[in-house]
Amino acid sequence: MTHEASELTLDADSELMNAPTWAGQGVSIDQVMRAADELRHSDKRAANRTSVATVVMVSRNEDDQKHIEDVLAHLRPRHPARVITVHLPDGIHKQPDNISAGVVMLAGTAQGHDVWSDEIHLQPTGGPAMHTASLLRPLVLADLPVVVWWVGKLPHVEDPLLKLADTVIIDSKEAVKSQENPEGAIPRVFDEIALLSRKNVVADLSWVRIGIWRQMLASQFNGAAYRSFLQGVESVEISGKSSPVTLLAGWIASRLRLDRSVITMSQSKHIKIKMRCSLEGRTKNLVIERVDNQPLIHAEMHIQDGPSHEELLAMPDTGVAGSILSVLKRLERDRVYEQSIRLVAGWLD
Amino acid sequence: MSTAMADLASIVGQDLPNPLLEGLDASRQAPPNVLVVFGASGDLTSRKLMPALASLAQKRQLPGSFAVVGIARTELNDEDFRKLAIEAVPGAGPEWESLVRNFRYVTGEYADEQTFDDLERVLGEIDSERGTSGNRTYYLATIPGVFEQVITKLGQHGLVDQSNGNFARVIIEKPFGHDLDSARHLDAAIHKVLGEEQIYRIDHYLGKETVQNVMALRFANAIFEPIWDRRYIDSVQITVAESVGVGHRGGFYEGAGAMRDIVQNHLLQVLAITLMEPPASMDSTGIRDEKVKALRAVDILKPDDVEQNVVRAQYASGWLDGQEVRGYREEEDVDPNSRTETYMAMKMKVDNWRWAGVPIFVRTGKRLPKRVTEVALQFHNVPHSPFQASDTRGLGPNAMVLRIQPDEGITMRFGAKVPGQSFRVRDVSMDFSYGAAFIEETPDAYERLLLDAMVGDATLFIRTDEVEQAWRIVAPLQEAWSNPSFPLARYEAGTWGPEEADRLLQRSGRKWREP
Repeated sequence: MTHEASELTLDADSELMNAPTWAGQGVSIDQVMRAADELRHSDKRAANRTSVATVVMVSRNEDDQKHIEDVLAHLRPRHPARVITVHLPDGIHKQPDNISAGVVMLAGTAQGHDVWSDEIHLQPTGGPAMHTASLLRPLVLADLPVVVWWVGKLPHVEDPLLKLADTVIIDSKEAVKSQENPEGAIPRVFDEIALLSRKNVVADLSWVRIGIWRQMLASQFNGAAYRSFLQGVESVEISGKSSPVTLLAGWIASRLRLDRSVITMSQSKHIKIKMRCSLEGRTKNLVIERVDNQPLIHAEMHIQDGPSHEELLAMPDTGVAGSILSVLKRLERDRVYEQSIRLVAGWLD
Repeated sequence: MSTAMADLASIVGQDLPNPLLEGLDASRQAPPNVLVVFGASGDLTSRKLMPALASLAQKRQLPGSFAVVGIARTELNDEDFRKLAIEAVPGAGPEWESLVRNFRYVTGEYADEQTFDDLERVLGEIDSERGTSGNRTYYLATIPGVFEQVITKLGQHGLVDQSNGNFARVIIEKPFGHDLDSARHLDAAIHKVLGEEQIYRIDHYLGKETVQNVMALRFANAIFEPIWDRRYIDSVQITVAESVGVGHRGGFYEGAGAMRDIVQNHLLQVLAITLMEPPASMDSTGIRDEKVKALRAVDILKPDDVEQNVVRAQYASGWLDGQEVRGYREEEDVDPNSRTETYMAMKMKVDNWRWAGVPIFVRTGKRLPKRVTEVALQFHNVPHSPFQASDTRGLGPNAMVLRIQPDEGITMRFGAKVPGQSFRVRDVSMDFSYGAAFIEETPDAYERLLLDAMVGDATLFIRTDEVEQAWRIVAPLQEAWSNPSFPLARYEAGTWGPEEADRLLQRSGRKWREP
């Protein structure tokens, strides 16, 4: 392996202020570490930075890399972390041993505060590509959580990076889409996620995206008078894309201990939830749906011979970057998600 | 409560948790209720309450069965009130417009029976139409002079009755009285109608995320609490500084002064949180019990000792932020011979095991060089310095500063070796900024406190014994200041206060920090 690390340079044209960068081919991780250290101390403010996590992003193709770039653009001024990207396209381990790396120290201002983060971009080939944990272990920030995001496909259950990760970010919807026969793949994908969640804390971006629907449905049963209707759920109809619909169904069934036969799932462009409950001869009907193609959710609730109300809510940012930012705020195990996934995996067996 | 909802409520029996809420970002959600705002056409409503409600709506923390009833003397109808609400939150999302459609308005004098008859009718209609289950949150955004009258009328009309399993809570804005006697009188009158658990006395300072962070720092970390006492701490300085003058509030401020405006409430709350013992739990009883204990341990000055331990002052004209500003007596609606204090500094003693012998210096003022609220803990010097005196010249005592606003965070000051052959030690400071670690919008204090009241969490509201104790602490000052011969110092606007305040610390060999 040759070591031809470049000189430390200040990139005045960087999109963020005075972002110093470093890049090298055929480098060692030790050189990468030293470069990161030197860059950090090239600015007094960066030396005093505050970090909250190490975020590792694993890409396998150009689409994944583009996703990562979009996410980083969003994350940089908002999340003080060390980000390490690792590019591992198929067949990379058959190439000669090598590590190409780049380091960039980034600064931005958020709400009047200087925010510093650093990014380390790794492209290992050959043996190093097969032992990614050994590359990353020296680079993760001490005492802070390590979050690993696999863009697109799910990680293999034996992936060495899983041992390094405190939290694993996946996207069940993208994982289903990446399969050759997406519809047929749903049982296997959810089964794999259920298996993954037994070993790691799993954060599913698809789960984050349906958060607003869960919120809207939950709020229809807030207050003692409404809550009791949950004891008499007669039917639930959920339509939308198959993966989020399955997640929603699993969530409703696991939270309310409903039999699968009560829930009907169907396909449509946008999510729609219809629910009918009965209590002491009185019926409660509710419908939550997207308003045409607008980023709005409409909810309507009516109790027979009783009150009714309508609500309108703007849909939050459901982009990948926004969802990842949401995950990074909350890295603990989500028991509700795990119960939902396990129930669904059991249904689909 | 409507018949339909009463029927439903009777079926319900007990209020079980909502299993669908578990794990959600907005798992803290208000139950169905009507927020009734007295003083709905006023400044506080449009400037603070409406934006707080819009933010809660946007975060899905208000239920579908929710409505607002505005009530004030100003002649408005429902549509006018809705328009005011929309205008109060420019750029709010569709959920705000959707929510505002349910707003209602009642015009009337608070002394008139008709006003409360109308309110009762409107609340009944809302219960039937929207299923708000008879739950009420009343917000008294009015002048303090009508608190007693409004609460009495609410009681007479059965509007704070909780006998059907519903709740009725009343949020009261400060000031809670203007001295110990008036606070006791108001409290007695309110308690004729309401139980203490129905009363939510609001001090928006406690709703600030960074004030709550003081508790997180102290009670969620093992490294600070062991040194948080007289064995390690030499003195404490609490500063609540404002750069603004009285502006258009001259009329109000003439009757309040720095002591009633800041010290009796905000400053003593910050002091209580800084000095309190660790609570057994973070619930309303646990925290408020400990705050009261801390306030009870504050040594009440004897009137004769006030002059020795307290400095009151008033700002004169000066230069601030590159602009010449006028003195207090030249301000709008201020008596040209006013003796109202715009600055106050005080040396306090706390008589308990933890703080015995540690002087607590507090100060607040207007037209100081910058807006800042901080708590600074100054530590004792090392018992023996092995360095030559010349090597540690300029080395100050260790300090930990909790910056509450505006740049929320923590600064630690300690000595470090200057690189080189000699062993010179200098002060360095290490800064932690909340804003750089958690880059997300924190909820506004009113947003937090409104939701707390609706969900029935009184932790960040002030209990009756806290109010009384705070008045007891400042009562000797009020008595001493009632004597026209009590000194009123002057300080130039844009400075950190009068020389008399500096001397208050110099007498014990200390000096004020310059935040």
